[in-house]
Amino acid sequence: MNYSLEIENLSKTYPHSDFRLDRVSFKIPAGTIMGFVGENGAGKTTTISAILNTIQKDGGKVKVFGQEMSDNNIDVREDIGVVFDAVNFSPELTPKKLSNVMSRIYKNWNQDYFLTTTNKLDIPLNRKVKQLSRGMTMKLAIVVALSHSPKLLILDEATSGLDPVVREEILDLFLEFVENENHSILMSSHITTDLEKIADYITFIHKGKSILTEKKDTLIYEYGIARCKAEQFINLDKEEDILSYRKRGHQVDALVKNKTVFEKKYGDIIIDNVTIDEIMLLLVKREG
Amino acid sequence: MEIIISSNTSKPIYEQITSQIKEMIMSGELQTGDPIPSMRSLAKSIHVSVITVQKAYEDLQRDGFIETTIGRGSFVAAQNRDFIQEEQQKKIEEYLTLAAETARVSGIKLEKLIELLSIFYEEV
Amino acid sequence: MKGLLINNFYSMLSNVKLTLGMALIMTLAPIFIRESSFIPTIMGVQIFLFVVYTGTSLQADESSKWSKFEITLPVKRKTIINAKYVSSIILIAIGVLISTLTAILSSITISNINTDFLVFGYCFGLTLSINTVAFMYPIILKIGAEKNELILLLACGFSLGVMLLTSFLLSLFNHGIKFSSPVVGITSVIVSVLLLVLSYFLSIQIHRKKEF
Repeated sequence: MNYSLEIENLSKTYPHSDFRLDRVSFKIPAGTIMGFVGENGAGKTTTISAILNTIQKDGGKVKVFGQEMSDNNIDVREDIGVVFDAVNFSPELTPKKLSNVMSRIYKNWNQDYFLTTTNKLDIPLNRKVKQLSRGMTMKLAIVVALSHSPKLLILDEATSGLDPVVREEILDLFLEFVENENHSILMSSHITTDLEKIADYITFIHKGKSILTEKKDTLIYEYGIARCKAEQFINLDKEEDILSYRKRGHQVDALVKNKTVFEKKYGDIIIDNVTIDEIMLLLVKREG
Repeated sequence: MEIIISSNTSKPIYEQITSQIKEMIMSGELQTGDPIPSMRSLAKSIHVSVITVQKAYEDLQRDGFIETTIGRGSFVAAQNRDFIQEEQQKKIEEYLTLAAETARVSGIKLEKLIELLSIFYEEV
Repeated sequence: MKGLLINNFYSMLSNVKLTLGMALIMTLAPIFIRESSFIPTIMGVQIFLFVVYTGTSLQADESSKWSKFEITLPVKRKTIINAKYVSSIILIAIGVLISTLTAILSSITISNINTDFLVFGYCFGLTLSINTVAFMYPIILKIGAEKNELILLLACGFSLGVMLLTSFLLSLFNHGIKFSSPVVGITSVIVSVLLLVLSYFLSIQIHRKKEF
């Protein structure tokens, strides 16, 4: 199996804060889209910063296309397209001027693709970045990231602030990107409906720990939420049958790994399909 | 090749893909040897994740409906007549189960059911 | 590095145009002020103007997170610092060119102008601007660009301090030496260049460890 990105036991602590990354681990197979999900402050941005070497890690390994990331390894950065949750570019530049800059920095800059795509997404070429709306600057950042022919896209909340029409166009660009089976995407997002559409895998992170990595289809079609009455819940084998649970009023919601198996065992308990948001809630707000 | 995905049914997307492709093959819309889109381009055109399509194609390959060769792509496989018969029979059993249950619940007799079936079979 | 240099210039463009305008207007001063002792000050300020916006530029990079994005580009961190210093040097060179216009004009309008003044003008401008750059970069890289106006002020003070100190130390060897003599001037410039080199290595160290 070819992996575009491998993270092993990534750790980071900050001296004056509780916040940390604690042995975060996951792998992205080549040709897939990995959604990265977690509550605010869970460590998504920190993980991404550690991958890209904008912060130093205290421990663990990060390999992109099998190579370890370091300041000296500039060739691997030719193949990585990045979008941060920020303006990203100098405010005084226009998209056109930005392309002049980027064409001299990236070996494989594709100016035709840049011009065609900025046109398709209605990004004005001669307006200064500081005069662009947030949605526009995010679109611009995504186009810039795609325009230097990368093999891996790393996106930190790149679609938040975009309206649904534009988001769909962007998601299509991402699917077009992974039409090449050597291309992969790591995208952190609060907009889990986007991930439910196009992600192949989802990694959940909570309080600096990676708690679950699973195929999206497995999560959506096999996982489930058992809605238990108090007496029913007592009869469950907590170790075997459920992953986590939380109480909501008189019922207990339990996260179940396999709906069909669970249903066979406990036919009388209602079991629902689950969304990524609900899985996250059950992993984050768990009582057990 | 047009695949329509419904997000509202409880039927998983990969199942929707496999059943629609199977139907096209069995109805003759797709003939033996016809090419079908690569996994990735289909994923893009119907706006779903690649692995979802991959699972659908794997299921279709396992059931003998398509063949995928690396470098050449995916094609409709020569259809095994018996296998198709089996698939169709399975479908009929599904429908008949539904008919039988409905009849039983509403008190319609077996003879009436057989009569209705004969009428519909004769109709073309 | 070319791409980064171009980015630096694009981002400073409107400020540079403003500076250019002001500096060109100042070029006309010798027409109105026939007193040669003012010329060095005018030349000095003309050159200094070109580095005044260093801090605001760094601040814009910080708030837009371009300075974080830069790290993900296929360039070494060292190259980023190289581009910053080279950009500043180019701007100072432009300042020197503009002040040359003033020097030329004043030799025309002011008869028998003492060339010592002109030499001192260059030296004053170079010392001021080079020290400002040398002071600002490592400090802003370390503590951030939020207080960049204050830091600019301190940088000025630092530059003047360097000149005064140089003048004082030289006067220990040569009691008659004037502050505005070419010897003081040229020595100050040499000291400033050394400080710039020191500042460059310091900036590289600071930036290498910096987290974005």
